[in-house]
Amino acid sequence: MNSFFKTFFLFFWLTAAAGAQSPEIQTGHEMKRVAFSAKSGVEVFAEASNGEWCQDILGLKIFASDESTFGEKSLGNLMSKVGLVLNGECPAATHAIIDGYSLNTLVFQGSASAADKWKPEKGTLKVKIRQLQSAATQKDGLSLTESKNTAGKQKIVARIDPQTALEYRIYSKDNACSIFYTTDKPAEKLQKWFIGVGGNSCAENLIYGRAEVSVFNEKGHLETTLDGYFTEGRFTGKKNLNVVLLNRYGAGRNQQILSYLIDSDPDLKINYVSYLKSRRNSKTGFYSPWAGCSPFTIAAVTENEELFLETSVTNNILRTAQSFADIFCPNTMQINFFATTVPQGIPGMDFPAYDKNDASQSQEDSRLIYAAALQREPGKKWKIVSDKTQNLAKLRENTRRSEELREHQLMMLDYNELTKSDYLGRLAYMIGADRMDNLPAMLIATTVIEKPVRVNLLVNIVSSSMDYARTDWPEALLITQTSGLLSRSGWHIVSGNLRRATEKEKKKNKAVAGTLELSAAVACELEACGEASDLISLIRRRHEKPNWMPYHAPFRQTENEP
Amino acid sequence: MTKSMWIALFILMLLFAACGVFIVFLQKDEDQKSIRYFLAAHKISNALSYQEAALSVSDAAVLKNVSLKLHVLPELNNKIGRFSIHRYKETSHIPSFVSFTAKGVSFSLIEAAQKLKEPEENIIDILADFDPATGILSHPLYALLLAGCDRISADVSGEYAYLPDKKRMTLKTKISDQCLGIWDAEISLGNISNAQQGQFVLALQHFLRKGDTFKNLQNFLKNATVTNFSLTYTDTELVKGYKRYIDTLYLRLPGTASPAVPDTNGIQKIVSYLSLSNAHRQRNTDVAQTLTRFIKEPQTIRFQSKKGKQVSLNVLGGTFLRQLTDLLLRLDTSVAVENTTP
Repeated sequence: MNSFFKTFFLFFWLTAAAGAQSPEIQTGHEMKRVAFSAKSGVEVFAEASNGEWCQDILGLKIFASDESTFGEKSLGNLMSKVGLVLNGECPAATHAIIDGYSLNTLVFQGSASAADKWKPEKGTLKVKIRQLQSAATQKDGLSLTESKNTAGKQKIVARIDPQTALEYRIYSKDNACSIFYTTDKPAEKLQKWFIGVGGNSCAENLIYGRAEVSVFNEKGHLETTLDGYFTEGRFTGKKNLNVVLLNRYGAGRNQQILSYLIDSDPDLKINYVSYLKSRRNSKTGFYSPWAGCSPFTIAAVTENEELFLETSVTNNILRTAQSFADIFCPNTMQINFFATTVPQGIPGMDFPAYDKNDASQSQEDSRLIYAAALQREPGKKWKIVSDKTQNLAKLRENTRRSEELREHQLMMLDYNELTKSDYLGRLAYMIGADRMDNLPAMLIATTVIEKPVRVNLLVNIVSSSMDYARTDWPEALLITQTSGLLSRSGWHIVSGNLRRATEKEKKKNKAVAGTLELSAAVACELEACGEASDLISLIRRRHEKPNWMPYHAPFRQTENEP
Repeated sequence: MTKSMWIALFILMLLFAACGVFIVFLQKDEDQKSIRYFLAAHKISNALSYQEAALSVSDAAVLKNVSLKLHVLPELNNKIGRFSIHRYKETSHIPSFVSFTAKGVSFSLIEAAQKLKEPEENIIDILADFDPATGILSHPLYALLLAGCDRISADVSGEYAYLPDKKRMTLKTKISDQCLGIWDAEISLGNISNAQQGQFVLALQHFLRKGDTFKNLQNFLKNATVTNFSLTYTDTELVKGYKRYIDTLYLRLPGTASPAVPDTNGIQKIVSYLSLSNAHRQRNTDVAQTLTRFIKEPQTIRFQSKKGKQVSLNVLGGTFLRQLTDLLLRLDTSVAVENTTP
């Protein structure tokens, strides 16, 4: 066995041993260790979400003791082995974003894809685009198809939503050229349409750059002439826009949309996305060239809502948006800025704004983090239009803090009440009931009113089966309809309808005092449910706040002020 | 004697016997009339029914299988096997002495609770929130049920004596019940005018027919003084049963002390309560310890006021329990526990 196979064997032997681990490391994310080599000093983790790590696009973190691991050759070798693991354990993975750490310092960022046999390359743009496209697919429930450039190496192009995008690909007679044409005419007619192209080499099949395209209909008549610039086969009029298109979709018949990626900020975890729109002219029935500067709409897509809690960070992001406006739309006078968790589908951003008079539509969009309109006069600086600014992140944070403070107050109220209440009161609190009942008293009640009485009782169960159980404390009691709720003997708090035992039941069940038809049961750990003595644990469990402590508020008052 | 003389004697005896039987029947009819007259005169004839009545030689009157229609619980089934008035005496048309026994007094306490016709929610709430200390006075019926007494089967005897000239009244009663135990009580009252005595009789009547018994008793005791009090109680099931209830109420676990028995702290509380209006702290401590001993091992307890002491009821104030406590303390009542079993 040569040294390569020795290393290979060692690597995968250790991988298998490490396979079950899902540690929590300093990133704060749940991680799944997918590969490990003590000899090489390398550990490879995949980011997991809700316990699920195997996804279409993986986030791989490679921790190496030596920075040289991220050299082109070393990393290529490593990724080829990781690829084998991924092919076996996660066949669904197609892409991976790689963060490489040495001595806990980020020293490498790159990506890899299954199609390229997991060969790593520096930079993550392609994968970021895929992520944004996937995000739109997942969050909006759209069914997107990936367009592929038929010529040459696979190239990432805009995904088209066949449900909403009124767009058809029209080819030249020789199929050497094609454009994406927006129209609401029937598809069967469009199949017979063709184009004639002048002033473009059609080197990439889809027309890029300057061209004069004549569009002919099914009868061979000239439908329209598109004289100007094209981006990925889409007509942008006089604007030469060379951008990475993301998604092509529509917001109804009158407004068609095309999103494009401006930039990604890996530090802040923001992807800046903007939108081109094509509107239908109701008189002519034609759609306008793709345009996105009046106003310039930009979305900072991020899951990092906390960014917008800090005014200085928000201002920096807004300045970034302004600089993008200057680059992409130098003459625009208005920017509509949005911070969102999704790249598309936000009313007022890419979709038409809600009707302000329709109250049913004015619910707060949880996907929206921040919104602001910025305006400028010619030659002057951008100014935020204050009455159009919405910092929903802050509002939500304030609401969250208020709720947390309120909950803390409620918990303190519970705590103060419980310190004054007796043991039975604490037991009642433990199960969320108004009170605990006394068995002899409730047996008398049920005898006097001649009806079953709803009770909560502390009992000690001495025997149980699938359908019934018996207690010996506080008295002999028969519990029926247990349905597996009482699977073990010991101390329980039981709830249900109590009635006095009939003479027949008394004879059959060794003089039981009553019969309880069980509806709920809580098993206790300590004798007589002694855990009810621990007030803090009781309150924590009731409010599902495992770290709560009494006496001090979680926030200072000033922090809670809006 | 000749044969004919024997025959004549026999016929004579038969005649005497027939006359005797005739006289007995006449007497019985007269007894019935007298009793009916007595009941009607006291306006309680509608509240009382019986199977048989007699004026026997040894007793003033005997009623058998008596059933009462109580004003507060008119539908309650009850029965007294034999009710005997042993002696009845009037002085200037005022009852001055009555002694009676009622054997086989029986009724169901569960039925009594049902016939009170409280709303179901109230019954559940009262029993769920029942305070074992104050509940004895506020809801005595439920306290008895919680102690495990769901039926009364008792023998009751009583004695009433009133001296109008001296304005003195003595009341004695003895109740023996399988569950309630044996209660033997005697109280002597002074400063009871004729009018107040009348209120006492009215209170008894209003127990059976419409009227305000409580107000009658208040009027009866107004300005009265207590000159003697004694109570002997022998437990059978009542205190033991109530202790069992308290044990379950305060979640007594096997092998632990009963929460019903006052601990050092509890005794101190009793002493403080007793000492609130009485400075004899040592005596009060003895009383509290005696009560605790009885609760711990319930047998017989005896309360006896000191001879020569008298207390005007007008000087007592506060809640019923406070008034009763103060009365016993002012009477310098001794408390003693007697062990009835070795």
